[in-house]
Amino acid sequence: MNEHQKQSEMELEEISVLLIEDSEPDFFIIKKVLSKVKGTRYRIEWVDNFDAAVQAVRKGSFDVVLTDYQLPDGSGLDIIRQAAETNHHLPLIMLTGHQDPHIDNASMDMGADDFLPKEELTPSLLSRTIRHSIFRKKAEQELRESEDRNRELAEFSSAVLHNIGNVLNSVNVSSGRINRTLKESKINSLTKTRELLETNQDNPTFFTEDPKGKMLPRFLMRLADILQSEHNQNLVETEKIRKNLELMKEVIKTQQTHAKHGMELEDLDLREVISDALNVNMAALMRNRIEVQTLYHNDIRVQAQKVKLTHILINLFKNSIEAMNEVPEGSRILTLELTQNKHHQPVVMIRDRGHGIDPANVNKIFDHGFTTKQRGHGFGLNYCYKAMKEIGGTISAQSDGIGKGTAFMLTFPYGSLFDGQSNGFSS
Amino acid sequence: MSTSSRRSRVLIVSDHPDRLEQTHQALLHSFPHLHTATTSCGRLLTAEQAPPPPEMRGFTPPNLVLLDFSNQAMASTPSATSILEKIRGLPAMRHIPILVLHPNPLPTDIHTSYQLGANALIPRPIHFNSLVNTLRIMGEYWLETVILPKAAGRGAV
Repeated sequence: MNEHQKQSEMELEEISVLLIEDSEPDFFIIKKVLSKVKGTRYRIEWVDNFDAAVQAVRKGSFDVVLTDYQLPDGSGLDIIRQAAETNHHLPLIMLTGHQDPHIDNASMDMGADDFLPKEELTPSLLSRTIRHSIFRKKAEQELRESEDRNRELAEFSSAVLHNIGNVLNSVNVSSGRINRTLKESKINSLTKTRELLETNQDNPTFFTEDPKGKMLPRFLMRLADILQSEHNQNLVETEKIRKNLELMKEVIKTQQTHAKHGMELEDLDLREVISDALNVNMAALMRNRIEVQTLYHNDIRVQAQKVKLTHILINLFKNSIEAMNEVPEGSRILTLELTQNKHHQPVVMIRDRGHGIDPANVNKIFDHGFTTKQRGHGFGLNYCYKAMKEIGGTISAQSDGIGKGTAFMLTFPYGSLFDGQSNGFSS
Repeated sequence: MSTSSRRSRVLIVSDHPDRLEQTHQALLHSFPHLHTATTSCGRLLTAEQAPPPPEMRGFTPPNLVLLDFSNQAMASTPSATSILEKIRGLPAMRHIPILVLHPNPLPTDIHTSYQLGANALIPRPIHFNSLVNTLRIMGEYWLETVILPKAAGRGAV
């Protein structure tokens, strides 16, 4: 480091300065002051009017801007305001003849980094001010970048939680169902039957004469059916729980590998992924009496990260279900269409007949934090947008307006289509 | 394996979204190249109406219909028999073979199904693996052995 500093001192560090100053004598004074600074060479570009200054700020690449307060066609404050808007990385220092605290404050408010009275200019003060303002701008920039990184991380974490929450809901429903089946199980009837048989052990005519005994074979057959169906229901629900836990495990694994972007692309059958996502939302679909229609024109395979794609679909299905809350029960239809566009790219269309989107908001719905739900967070669609981008595809929304339903279109970059000519793939 | 199943379009109708998804996946398991359309709650939307509703624009009539129903249908949904009747009453659909899947058909279910023009009534196994097996056997016959009628123009779902 030290050696590097020495070296750069020997070679003379160069700082390019844009000087906005309408009086030529002042320009020479400042130029002279700057030339006396040891160790640094200042390359000065001088402009003497407002328009030229604005243009220079816009296109030039300067390390720092020094501007006079008074200009014939505008004030230095306006320049500072303009410059702060067009290029907020640029350090701005206001020079003025008057010492007026009002101007000082105003210029700082507009985005100036420092304020120097012309009569106090000395080589060391000016060079120190320039260095500090450059340094401060750089620190500000770094801070902003690190804030961006943190926000991104926070957004990602909230997406992970959001996705786990979706799946967890489905696990909750399944375990509730199992619990209810077990609680209401007819298994107790078997115990009672056992007691009945025990008390009639020595009665040889129990099955032929006793009214209870005569009914017993039919009763047992029916009980067997009921117990079998209870058992099957539990099997179905435990299988769902197992699948959903697997999904959550993958979400967490994704989170851990996010930093490395280490998610592997898989060759996926879109129909399978759609089915997984439908199953996660199945309880809600049935509770809300939503009719699911699918139209699959081809079996299209895409290259994508399975977990991401599943969550995109889970989020979109969930939105559609919620969007149809206020639609009369007979008209709640969710349609999924799997097709290709004219460029032979695989397309998934998800249509609902819900409350639709205000045309003014169609472009905003994918922004982070944008939501029309009373209790929404605005993560869902933003996650979909980003995840779809990472897969290499796009997501877009169409709606004819409020009350006309919404269609989401997922377009994938490429896929392989198995038409009549391709070989195999059936089991 | 014959490739004729590639050209077939199967419409699956069920009164229960959960079971619909199961049947759909079980069928695709053995016949991945099928073109399918599914609808739960058994609603029949005629795509003949002009213009067809947006979600039906991509729909081509099927050349085989699978009706997946049970007696424990959700209260608001139409019964299998009413859907059978409706399909047989649509000129564009009346010639399409209809296979009914039923988990535990009573003698009256069997009678009315054939009466109304079902081409087969198949007991629907509860376990997924048995369901895959049943649908594979069904498909080997209906999708790969017989010649199905050509799908007519715009029809109905």
